[in-house]
Amino acid sequence: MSVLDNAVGRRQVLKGFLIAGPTLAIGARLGFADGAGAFPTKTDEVPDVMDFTDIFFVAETPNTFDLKIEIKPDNRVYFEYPRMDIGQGVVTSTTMMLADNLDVPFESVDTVLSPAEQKRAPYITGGSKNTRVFWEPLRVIGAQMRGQLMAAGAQKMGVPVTALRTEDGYVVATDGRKLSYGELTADAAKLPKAPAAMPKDPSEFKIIGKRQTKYQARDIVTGKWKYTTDLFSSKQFLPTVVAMPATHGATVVSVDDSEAKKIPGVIAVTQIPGMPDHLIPEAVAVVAETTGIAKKAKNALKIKWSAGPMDAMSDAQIDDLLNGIIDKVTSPGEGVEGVFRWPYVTHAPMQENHALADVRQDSAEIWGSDQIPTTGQRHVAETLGMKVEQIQYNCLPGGGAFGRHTHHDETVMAAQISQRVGKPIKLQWMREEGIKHGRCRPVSIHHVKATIANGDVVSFEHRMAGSELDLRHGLGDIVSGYVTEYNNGGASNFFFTHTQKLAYKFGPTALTLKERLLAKPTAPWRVVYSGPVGGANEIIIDELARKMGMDEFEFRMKYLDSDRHRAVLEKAAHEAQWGKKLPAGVAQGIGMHDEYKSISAYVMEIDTRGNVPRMNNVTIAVDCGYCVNPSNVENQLLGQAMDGFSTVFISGLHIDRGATRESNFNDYKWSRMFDSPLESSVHIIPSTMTPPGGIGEVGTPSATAAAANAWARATGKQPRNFPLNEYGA
Amino acid sequence: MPNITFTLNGNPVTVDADKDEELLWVLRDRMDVHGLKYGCGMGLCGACTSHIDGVAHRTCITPVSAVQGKSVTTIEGLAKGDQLHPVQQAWIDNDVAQCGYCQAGQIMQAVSLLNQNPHPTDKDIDEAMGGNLCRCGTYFRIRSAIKQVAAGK
Repeated sequence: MSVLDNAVGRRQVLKGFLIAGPTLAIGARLGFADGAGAFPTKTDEVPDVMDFTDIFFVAETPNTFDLKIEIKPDNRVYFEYPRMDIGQGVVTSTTMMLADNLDVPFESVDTVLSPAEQKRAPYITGGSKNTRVFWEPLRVIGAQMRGQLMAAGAQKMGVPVTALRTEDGYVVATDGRKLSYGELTADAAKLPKAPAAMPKDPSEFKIIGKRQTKYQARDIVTGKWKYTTDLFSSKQFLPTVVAMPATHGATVVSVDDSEAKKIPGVIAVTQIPGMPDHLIPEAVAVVAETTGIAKKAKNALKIKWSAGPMDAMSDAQIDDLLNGIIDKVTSPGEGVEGVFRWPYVTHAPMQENHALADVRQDSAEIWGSDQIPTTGQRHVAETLGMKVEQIQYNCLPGGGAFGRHTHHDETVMAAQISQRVGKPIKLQWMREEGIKHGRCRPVSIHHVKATIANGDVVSFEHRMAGSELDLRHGLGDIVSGYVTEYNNGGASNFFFTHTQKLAYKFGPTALTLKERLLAKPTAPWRVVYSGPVGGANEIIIDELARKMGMDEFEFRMKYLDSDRHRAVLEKAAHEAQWGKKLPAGVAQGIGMHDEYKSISAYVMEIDTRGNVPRMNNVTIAVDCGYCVNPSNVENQLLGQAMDGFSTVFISGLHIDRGATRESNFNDYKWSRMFDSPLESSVHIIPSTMTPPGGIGEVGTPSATAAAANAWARATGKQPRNFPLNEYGA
Repeated sequence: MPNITFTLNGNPVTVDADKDEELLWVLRDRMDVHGLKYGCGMGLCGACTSHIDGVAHRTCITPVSAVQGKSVTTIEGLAKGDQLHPVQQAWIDNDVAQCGYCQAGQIMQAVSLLNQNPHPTDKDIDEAMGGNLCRCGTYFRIRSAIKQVAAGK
């Protein structure tokens, strides 16, 4: 069966599955009399049957074989990769997969990102699945291309194909003669389709599985690597900044630009409508000779903003709202419970929102770092009143994103500005607009309760309420085809249902979400719901262990779902010397998480004796299936240790009467060098599981939990309200 | 506007700019030097870090008039032709970068640190590098790369 047949088959399974509709049972009758001492039966949760990685896989498979790969006469390989790299390392790992399967040196591949093309939608970077979805296509395509090159080589050398093999970009004959792919590419293109070579067995891999330095490492350290805003001279694409509403959802009443326009070097001031349906606000743009002049002029604008729809709301009112809609905890019985609060946190990628736009009379060209550019292209076409085909929508690797660029605020704005001023422009949001108006992780409240009876955990209930997560960025391309009849809660509830689960045998489990749309724009933030949900779950699990008089590690080993989970946890605990003697005020904490077909476990040692907690060291174990690039896996998981540390101790936004209080890195804080561990180790569990699991997010919930649990063990306090440096006293 | 003359990556240059314009934007928008990055505009993140007379400065809060007659080095000027600076090589050896956007500033800061203190302690590294934010969290490998250079490996 081909992969395509398989995809169709799986799609039918999905349809059937959805019609059947599994339920997340809670309030099931808990009868213990006959089963004392036995584990409660665990109901399969939705992600156990089909998680979002599966759904992405099904949805994307029809297009993942449609790749542009060309062998050039100079024996270099041109590869257009139709996904975004914003630091997660997929350009490197995917280039490795192509090079190995095609049997060419890694260095001979020139990889660029594809522009948006509707016929190849969905072009989605998210959900930690890009290495997974291209694993099989690149195996098949590599084998097909090698087969074709060997057929051309056979003809040219006058030998049967069976006398040929490939090696490092050459077709090599048993008699020692060899021809480069470049010498054969023109002939290969003219031949009828030849039988594919044998796809490589993993034992034959030369590149996959070895440490590979980042594809663009040398260009990054020499300053040659071009991010979007490094393209073109600012004389060609005019520097542009935007002023954004005083409060969320407010609109422009009037603009007095008389002072701003007096500043030498200001070229234009123009008002843009944004896209209110997508919470892209109205704004006032300033175009100038330099970004610095544009910023100065922006600050000289006198803009009167209307009232906004959430002007009556500060953090306390938002909490009241969420407490009013959250599902009630109903589990009867004794156990442990907690109410958790996670604030809004923004992505704050080092490269704030940015885009280039050159809008002409009947066409437009856009440059950005979109995670879902096929949707961005449609939104730009819509706002310009053009057809999608008139929009050339280019993608360049971005300076961080973490989910921020799933939406298209900056490309839509850049297009609107360029259209109004009639010139190519280079839009750079100032950090102040990025912190205040950049999309962010929703604020959320979680009520979690686990009950204990007869010495066992017999139920686990997690009720979440949050400001609505905006998934109207193209996820609908995947979701809407399958689920509109299934779920009245919309895309976010569908996503929640297909990602959230517990990796423990706790009997009936309930995980539910209620949301309310607020004017402050949101977006998926690395690992989406699982940072807050998984973090809170793992804190409760530590408290369950202590309540039941068990060691936190031993407790998990007893209740974890599978040997695969236990192997990961055991590795982390062993390498960290779990339970080692530490001074008062210093403690280790455990966290683990299972998502994207990968499992991570973190043991973090937190020292609470100073002014603020410090991560002394972190020990990480992961099972991500077949590991494509160990260097990148380690780097990603170490970075996610900082995500966990930051969200637990340091980072959070506040809402004051409809406005975001923070405005730059002086008040929106994130971990820095002096927060980072002095020692660390990452242990990758050897695995032959293919296609591989995801690695760009799976560590964040584990790191979150490990940080909070270490703090709890060091201080004896319960982590509930984050960030702890503000609320944990 | 006045002409301001300085040395940029070893070459004499003159630029016509208002004396208060930020060096970051003069270099990026008037001179097409793009290796230094914008991150915050307030000297809070270090993405724009470059050298003035060999010492790390935040160019986003440095008026261009302050470099009149001085020597400015951006990331583009750190290597000697194809010969990378040891800090650049250590960054590659340790595969430091994720998104890479902050790394020019990190490297320029690390070079400045090592010029002044060839054998920094962890505490020295915490202090000297504390102003350079990396949202991807590559701090551990930055520390390793600095230690590699300090050890002369």
